[in-house]
Amino acid sequence: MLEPIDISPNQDKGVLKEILREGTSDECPPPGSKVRVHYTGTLTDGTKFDSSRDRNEPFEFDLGKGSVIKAWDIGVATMKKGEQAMLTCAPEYAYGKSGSPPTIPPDATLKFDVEVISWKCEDLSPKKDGGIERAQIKAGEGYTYPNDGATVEVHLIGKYENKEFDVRDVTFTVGEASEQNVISGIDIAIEKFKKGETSKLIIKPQYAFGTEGCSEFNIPPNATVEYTVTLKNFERVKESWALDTKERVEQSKIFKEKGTNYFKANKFQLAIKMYKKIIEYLESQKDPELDKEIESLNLAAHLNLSLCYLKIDDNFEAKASATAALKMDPDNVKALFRRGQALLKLGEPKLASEDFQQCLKLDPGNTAAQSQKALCVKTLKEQLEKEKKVFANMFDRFAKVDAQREEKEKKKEPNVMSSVGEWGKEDREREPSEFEKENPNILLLSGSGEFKDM
Amino acid sequence: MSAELGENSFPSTISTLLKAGNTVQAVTLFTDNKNSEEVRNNSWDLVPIVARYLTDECETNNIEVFKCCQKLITVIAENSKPEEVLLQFIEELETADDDTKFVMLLKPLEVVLLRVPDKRVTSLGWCFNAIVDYLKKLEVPEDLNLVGEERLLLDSNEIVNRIVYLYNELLSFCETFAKELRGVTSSKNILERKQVVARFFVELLGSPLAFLDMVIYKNTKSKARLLAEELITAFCYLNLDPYKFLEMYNDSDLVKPSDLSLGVFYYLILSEEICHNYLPKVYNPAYTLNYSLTFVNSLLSQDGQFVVEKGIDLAAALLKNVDQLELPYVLLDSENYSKFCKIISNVIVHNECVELRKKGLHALHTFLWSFEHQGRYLLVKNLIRNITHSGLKGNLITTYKEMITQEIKTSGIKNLPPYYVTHKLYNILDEFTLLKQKEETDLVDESDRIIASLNFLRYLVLVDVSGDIGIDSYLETLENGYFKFLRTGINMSQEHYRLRIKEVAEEDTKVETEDCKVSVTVSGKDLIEMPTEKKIEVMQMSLTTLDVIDSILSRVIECIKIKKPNV
Repeated sequence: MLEPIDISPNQDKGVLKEILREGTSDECPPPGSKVRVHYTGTLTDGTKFDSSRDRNEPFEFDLGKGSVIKAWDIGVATMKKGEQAMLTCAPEYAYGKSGSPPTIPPDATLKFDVEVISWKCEDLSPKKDGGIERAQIKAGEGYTYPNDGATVEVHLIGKYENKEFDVRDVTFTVGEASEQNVISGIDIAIEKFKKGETSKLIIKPQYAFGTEGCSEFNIPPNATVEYTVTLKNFERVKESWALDTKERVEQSKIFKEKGTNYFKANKFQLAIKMYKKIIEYLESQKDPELDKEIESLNLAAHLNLSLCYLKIDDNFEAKASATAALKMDPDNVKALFRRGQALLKLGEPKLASEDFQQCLKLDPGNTAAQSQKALCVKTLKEQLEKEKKVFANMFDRFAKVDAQREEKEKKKEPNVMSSVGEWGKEDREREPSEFEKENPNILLLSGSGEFKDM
Repeated sequence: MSAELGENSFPSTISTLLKAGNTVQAVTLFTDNKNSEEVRNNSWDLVPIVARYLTDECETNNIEVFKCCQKLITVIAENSKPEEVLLQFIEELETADDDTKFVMLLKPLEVVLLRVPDKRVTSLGWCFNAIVDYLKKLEVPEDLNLVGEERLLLDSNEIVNRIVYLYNELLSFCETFAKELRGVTSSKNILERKQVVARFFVELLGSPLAFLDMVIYKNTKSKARLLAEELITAFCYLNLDPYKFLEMYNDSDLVKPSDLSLGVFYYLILSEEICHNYLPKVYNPAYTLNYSLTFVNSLLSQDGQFVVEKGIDLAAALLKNVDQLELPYVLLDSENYSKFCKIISNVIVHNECVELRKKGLHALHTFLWSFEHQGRYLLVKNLIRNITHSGLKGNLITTYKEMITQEIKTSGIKNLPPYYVTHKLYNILDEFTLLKQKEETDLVDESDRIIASLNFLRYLVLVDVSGDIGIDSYLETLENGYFKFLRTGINMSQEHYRLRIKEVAEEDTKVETEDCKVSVTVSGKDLIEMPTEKKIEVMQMSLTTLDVIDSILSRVIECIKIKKPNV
């Protein structure tokens, strides 16, 4: 029998392992795998507090996910199939100062007699057909995963028969990985990755290049491929309480980049959404070390928003965004230029011209501003001319309109002669009016209020 | 009854006999060996004919027919094609609007289920869902705010009794399946079957049972408690790991326990420690907390004293195993944490029951202390922003002060984590001292928070002799903002109240002759309905509060002056 060895990562004697029976396999269970064990837990005084053997049902757990006490995640990862060992766990690696009432007292050292029965590699395929297997290399942090629709930044190393065929950094939207030429297996698996995680994925053809293979990567039909995937970052869809100023700035940078990409792809509405998020995320955030960055991100967001609004012809918003940018940086040429453009489109050539003038003052060589200014002058002239035209003809037109109106009014008046009862029924053009009915004598009506035939 | 049935078909004969009340003939026909094929093949039509009479109404008015039909349905359950009759039973359960019918169907259902061949996970699931659906329609007792011994009164409540009666009838049904499965070891789908049954047991703990009281009072257990214990025991009989419900996202949807049911389930096991010895003692407390918080939130957001109480107790039980400073801040990524904070704050401020408000506050405190420093900082900062109640805000400020105090004791003032010094501290002080309407803020309304923040500032000024905390650099901000607004605000409010007191007192002498009234508001509440004396009293109290703020403010400024005479 071997002496107990310290297997804690810090070598602080937190987890001691004593092998009771050697295992049969060469490998140990990889992180993330589902491990089946039998165990008996005792306190140092020999009191048994729990045993899967008593329940006659092996215990199953996901290795390396923090679901069990630290000593177990460390200890079981070193065990081979069939191995039985005694793990002695210091309280810091077990239930700590609190213990786990009523069975485990505070500050208790625990002894576990553990036997590894078997394990299954973690299967991430939706149908549980073993199509996507994961072996973790480096655990991620946090407790959230990217969900469908989230944007992920990953690093990929694709291998086939030990040859690397696809090495790249790529950003894609979960559920739409194919747009970036990323196989569905990764698209599916990434939803189970935490930030910073690196894992090896063994992907069967149905989740990789299928029956056709891939000529670009030189992959034959029906090939099982291997990918090493690192999830570098992903966009948290909802605002989370874990974000402090620094993380918010980081997140805003992602938004900015995404906004720019959307802009380039002419998806202005999406770009606007991204830039607006920056402003929302950085609202009332302060940090002496980051203040400069926050300001530059905010400025960029307003400037870009202004440009996007110009593109979708929402000139009012464009003007507002540019003004917001100018509030932060009154001499920003871009902001002045964009506000000028917006104003021009809003039919304010005079105000626009002032902005372009300011542009030229700051940057005399700015030809775009010059031409815009010229355009302003032209528009202004046109406007004046148009006005002139309008006003010049004003009286004539009014006279004409008046004449027309009189004509119309005349038409409305009944032809008196057509109604008086001089003619027979067929000659009349209308029924008698209320007034006429009430005063039959004047208009020669019959007693019942009808016109009298002559 | 289907129209295609001939006049002389077996089902229509039975129908006619039952209508006529000729029960003897009906039973004879049913049990006659000659007709066994008829019974076997006609369940589709026979079940509705017979089930029609299994009602409360029939039991009281026509007991003969009722008893006869009870017999007949058993014969059908025993002899018909199980798959067919099962569907018919499920349909009857789904349309049942009568407790008698529900109870009468249980036994035959059990018989049929036992006859369905091994691959019956789906049939089991469907039946269980139909039963649960019926129970969910039951009315739950209204909140009566019972405390202490009064709680036992609930057991004589009619609504409670109805629920208890139905659950009692169900228990033997449950036991049958628990026992049956314990015996089987070799069947291929044994695990699946166990899971479905286990989930059913857990789901039964949800509505309406969840809304009943399950606390033991002076060794007396309420009926609901006894039922819950039976269900948990039945669950343990299946020998499954109770924690396997924590991560269920990949499981099939067949009988999926709701968050509410799981909340009650874990409450009973973790807080009430029922069958506690079945829990594997290798799980990480941070993990169980993380995944149970959804269930806690579900309990806390229900209406009803007893459910909310279960939520708080479960939270407390989960936190009991977590050490201080154990939880990493990244956990806050999950919105369950912010949701928990918001919901429990709501309970602390608004719940009608004092007991629950206190327990809630205690749980929130334990929760905050369980986090490492960055988590504490983020939680307090976000909470302050999200709550409106000044008292709770004050409480949080004081808690943050205690956290610093403890850190100074354990790590020393030179080694404080960054969250208690300089820029991070200024950030959080900005939140603590925020007066939204500057000097026009209602100081009396915000008094708890203001007093707590001033106390905190005074503490910081006194304790930061070495300058490690860096409060000195923040003093200017305070002078030009917070202190200035407070000073002006105090003066304005004092004048306001003094004037009003005078007016009200004067008005009192005039009130007999005149109808004109002065409207006075304190903290947004109109005082108009109060008698004059009361009005004056309330306003005097407000003045006292202002005095308290004033004196603490002066004390803070004095401390600053002593420390830095030239500021």
